[in-house]
Amino acid sequence: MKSPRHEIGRRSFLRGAGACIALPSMVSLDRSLEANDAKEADDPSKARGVTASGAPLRTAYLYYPNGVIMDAWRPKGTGTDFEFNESMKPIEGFRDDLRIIKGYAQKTGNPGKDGAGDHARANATYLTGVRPHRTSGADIRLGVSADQLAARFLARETRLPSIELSCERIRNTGSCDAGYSCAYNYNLSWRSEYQPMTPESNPRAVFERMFGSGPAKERAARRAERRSILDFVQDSAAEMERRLGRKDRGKLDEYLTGVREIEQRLERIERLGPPADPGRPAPSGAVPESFREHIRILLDMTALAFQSDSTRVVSFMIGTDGSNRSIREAGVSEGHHDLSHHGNDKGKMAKVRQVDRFYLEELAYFLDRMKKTKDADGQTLLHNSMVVWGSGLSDGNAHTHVDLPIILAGNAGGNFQTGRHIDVGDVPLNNLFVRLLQEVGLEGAQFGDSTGVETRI
Amino acid sequence: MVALACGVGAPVSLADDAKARATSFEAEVAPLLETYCHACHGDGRSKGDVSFDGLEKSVQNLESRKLWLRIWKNLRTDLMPPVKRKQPTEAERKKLIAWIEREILELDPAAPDPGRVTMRRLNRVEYRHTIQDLLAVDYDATRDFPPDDTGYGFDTIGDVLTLSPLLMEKYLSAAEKIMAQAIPERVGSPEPVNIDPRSFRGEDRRTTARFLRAGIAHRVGHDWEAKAVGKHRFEISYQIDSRAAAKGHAATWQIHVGGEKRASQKISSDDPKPKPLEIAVEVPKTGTQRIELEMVPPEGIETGRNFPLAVRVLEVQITAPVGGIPWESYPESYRRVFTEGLPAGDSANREGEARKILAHFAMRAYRRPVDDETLAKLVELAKSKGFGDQSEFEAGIRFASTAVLASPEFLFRGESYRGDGTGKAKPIDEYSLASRLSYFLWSSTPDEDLLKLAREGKLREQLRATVDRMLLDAKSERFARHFVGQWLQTRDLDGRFFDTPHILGGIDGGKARQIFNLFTRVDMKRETELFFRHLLVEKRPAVELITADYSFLNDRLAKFYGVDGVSGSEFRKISLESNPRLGGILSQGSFLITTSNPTRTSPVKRGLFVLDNLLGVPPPPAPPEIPELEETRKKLGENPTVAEMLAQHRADPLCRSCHARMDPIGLALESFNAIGQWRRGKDKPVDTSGVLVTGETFDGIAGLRKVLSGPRRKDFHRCLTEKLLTYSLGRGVEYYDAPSVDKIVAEAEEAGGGLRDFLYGIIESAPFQLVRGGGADLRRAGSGD
Repeated sequence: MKSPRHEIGRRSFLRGAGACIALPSMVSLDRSLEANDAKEADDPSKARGVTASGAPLRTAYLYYPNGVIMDAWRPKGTGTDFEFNESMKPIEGFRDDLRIIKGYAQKTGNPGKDGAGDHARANATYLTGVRPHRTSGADIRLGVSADQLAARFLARETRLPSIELSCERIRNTGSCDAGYSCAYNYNLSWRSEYQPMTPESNPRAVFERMFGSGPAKERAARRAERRSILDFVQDSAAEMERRLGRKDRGKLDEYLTGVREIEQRLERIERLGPPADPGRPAPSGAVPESFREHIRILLDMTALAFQSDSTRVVSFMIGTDGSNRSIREAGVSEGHHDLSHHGNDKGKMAKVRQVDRFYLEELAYFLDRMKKTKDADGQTLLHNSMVVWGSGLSDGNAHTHVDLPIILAGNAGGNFQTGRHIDVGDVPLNNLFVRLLQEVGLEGAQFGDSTGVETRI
Repeated sequence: MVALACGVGAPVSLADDAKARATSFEAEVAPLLETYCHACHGDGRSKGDVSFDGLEKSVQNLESRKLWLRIWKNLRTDLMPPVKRKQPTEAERKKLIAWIEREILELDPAAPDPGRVTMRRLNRVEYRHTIQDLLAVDYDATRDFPPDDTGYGFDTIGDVLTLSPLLMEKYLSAAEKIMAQAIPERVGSPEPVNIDPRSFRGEDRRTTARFLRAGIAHRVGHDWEAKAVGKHRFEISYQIDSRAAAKGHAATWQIHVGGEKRASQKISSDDPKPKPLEIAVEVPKTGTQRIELEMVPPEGIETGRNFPLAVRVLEVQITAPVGGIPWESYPESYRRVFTEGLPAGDSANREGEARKILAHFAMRAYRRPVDDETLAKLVELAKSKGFGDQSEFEAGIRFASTAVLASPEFLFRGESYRGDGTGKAKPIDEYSLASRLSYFLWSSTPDEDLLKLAREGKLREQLRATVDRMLLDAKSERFARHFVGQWLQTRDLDGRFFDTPHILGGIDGGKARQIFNLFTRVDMKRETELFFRHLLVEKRPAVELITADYSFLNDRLAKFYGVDGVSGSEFRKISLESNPRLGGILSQGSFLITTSNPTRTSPVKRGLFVLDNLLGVPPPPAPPEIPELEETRKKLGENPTVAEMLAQHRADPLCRSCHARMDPIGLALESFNAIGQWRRGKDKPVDTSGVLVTGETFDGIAGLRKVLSGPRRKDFHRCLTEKLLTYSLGRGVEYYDAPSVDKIVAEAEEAGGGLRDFLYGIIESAPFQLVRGGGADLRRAGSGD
């Protein structure tokens, strides 16, 4: 699929990198080039998740809630000859960096026998293509998500396998949507059927995960201490396990998985070297009051994560589906969810359009940042990325799970055609994800309800 | 509340049992079903898709079992037969229920099944309180940890409290941060004190240590407050001032502390930037000590004001010795860990000391004694830091304690050990019981007293007295905060937005903010918490949650509700006898606004809340084929009123079956607007009368209160019991808990129905006290080991 992988020579690469700040990306590019030199390029396990030029290839899944007013969102005309619609004004300037795709569906989100709860299902199915088991009790069950498949595949390449983000900080008590556990509403990323990947909402915490806290010289000492502590707690866990029944062992297993993951991280830091100076101070520990600022600082963290090659996989739930947030920055005081059930009321629909536009302004902000940042190979960060912008519902009023409003930005290092509005018919959204996984080197990863791989992008 | 136990297989029973069951079915049950149910659910009729045809022949089959559960549930809560149909007598109803419990559900009231609790980690609220109580360190886990998932409405449910890799990472760095704060570096010594040279004054009050002429014999002094005894380090940085031409001049200056000369130093114009003067000073006692700097001019030459040499003191820094401060001045957290007092100066028995300290700390953190092997490993960890001087010793203890806080025994409440395989339920050990109690009532770790009782095996013996003690402890406020916060959803108040100007009929934003703001919500939350705790501490009847004619208000909230005569910002108990429309949870803002939309009230949500949280009979979720809202809208036109929409619910048969249960309750409360104020003038609702699905009629809040606390009181009591059980056990209430629930309710009612009686009942119940035998108990396959 992507045969000429490491064409770019060391010299031309260095020229291209001349303009950019000291990027740890270079380290990994170096590594993959070295790997190439060592004639290991034939072994796919040696250079996972890179573009044709050898730069890291990043995947970002950005989620916004409650669908859109499609009539004002969907571009007019298809192919390269399309016209942006009213709600998309904010991203007009990025025409050549994206494609808008009509026709993807997450049909496992349809009511079927389960009835109400479309918002919970919109969240749950979005990255999994799996119908969530309806429960507000203990037996939650879903499926592994697209980003986690990538994270698992790329785990060796970066210090962090993936980062999960969310602006949702306050969580309602009890079931979040018609008898569905809140776990479905607040987690886009699922490591396994049973284990959601809790997202982080505090920008400072994200920063510290990437770059550590405290002075650099103390960090090495702390890593050594951590190894001893992890040894100790693993012994304790082994001792404890003998006394436990089956279900409790499952809980302890979650614990041990976390412990091993920290160990692997320590190992990767030893191997890949500590992260470079991010060139900016850590953000404040307080989460911004303003929704827009909160979104933007987390988008900044996403860009920073990519730029520093801390990870190549990010999922970001900007808002949970069903969110009734009143977005005053969009000039709307009513709750978004309430408005989305506009019942074709013109006034309400106008306000929903304002919200739709607000969210696309945030996408524009991110694309702008990604485009202004030079990557190790001289291309823009956006060029070497795959950014999926989408919602799990298309029409929030009718709760439809088909024809989802999806934008794919970035060029995957040049493998994607951009500047188009295409209609793929009616296919599972998972097919797109399968393609994205293929791009990072994971072949044949059919999952959820996928029926093949998207080739038309 | 009673979940269908999926995967419940065919009960293990003999053919004889089956035959006996069939006989008793024909004799006792079939006639009753035929009389009261078959008109809708038998002989080919299947109202609501429920048919009893064929039920009798397949009592062991799964589908049938599910149907039996529904029948049983509806009988228990009087939902069936519907009020319009012929009603069975109380005795007949009891007989049916008893038969189902005995024959189908195989419940044995004499030996109730305690169920199975999945081992669970601390949630972030408990984590914070645990650290507070263990170490006197306030670690803001709510800020640093991701929100916990909830199940059955609570964040204490073992199965859904997953531990993601992200959280594990946070646990580890939290452990590091907490122990760094608990045992700070250089803990024994106060921070070095810097004394401004200008505060050293001469007798003339003008001369300061900023400029001391070497040609004049004089002193400047400063009164220093010594906080520690022992060897202090004084560091005086200074410069020499001399005229450029003047070479070769010299003099001496001296330092006196407490009237004693401590140092004497030559100064010379040839060395304008001397090294700081460092001296060690033994301070015998704390309190005021005078520090003096004295100039001694050279002898035999002419000196005086014009002598071209002077000292300019830049800074005087005093560092107290490690260990110099009295034990009581050590941080509380330090004293909690170093229970043996200050580590001895010598290192002869470091290892023994470390063992003692770590055994105690691990016991507190693990909520049970630590085994020797683990303890030995902890001592090894501590030893790796050297065991030399005090600060190395401290570093070692800090390191080992960090490991304790990162270990599974601390993070998980490991009290649900495997049964012994006999199949018989057995009591949990007393350490586990202590943990259950303390996490239930304090959201935190057991204190020394609880652990002592457990160690001595006396906790069960003194159970009620212990519960009483725990409830009187201020820590029980956390129970009100966290249990009520989730049961009545007051926790969610902060995050809600209201379009107050709109709700209040289009007044301007500034005025609206004066009436309803963040303070109002905080006050509302406080009101409900204080109210609940009052019932608990003062042993009031649980039903006063609904009927109380008093509440807890401050001036702000009283004004908001329109209650006169309350001044001052302190909350206190206020009688509402002269405000009969207020009182009880139904009129409290916390409930009223939790169940409202941002722009208006939602009678549906209010009704649902009452059914779900006060009566324990939630209607099923809305069916999949709800007519398009648009269709409904067409019928009703633009901007229908709330009442019109509710009328639509009644008219449409699809909506009616459930909304007939919810809407009337909500309508009775329509006299309160979306932010919880009593409506006035034309805002007043027209009709607040209604009827419960079980047949009781009422009008407005007063009538609703009467019905809920009168004929439906047992539903309320059962609901309260189930919520308390769910919260305290950390698992959902299942059908097999019915005998336990019934027993708790019956005994509490017998004792007067006090909220505290319910608590006693919960704590003494089989699910709280026992653990399944495990192994042999295959009957509940799918719900345990």
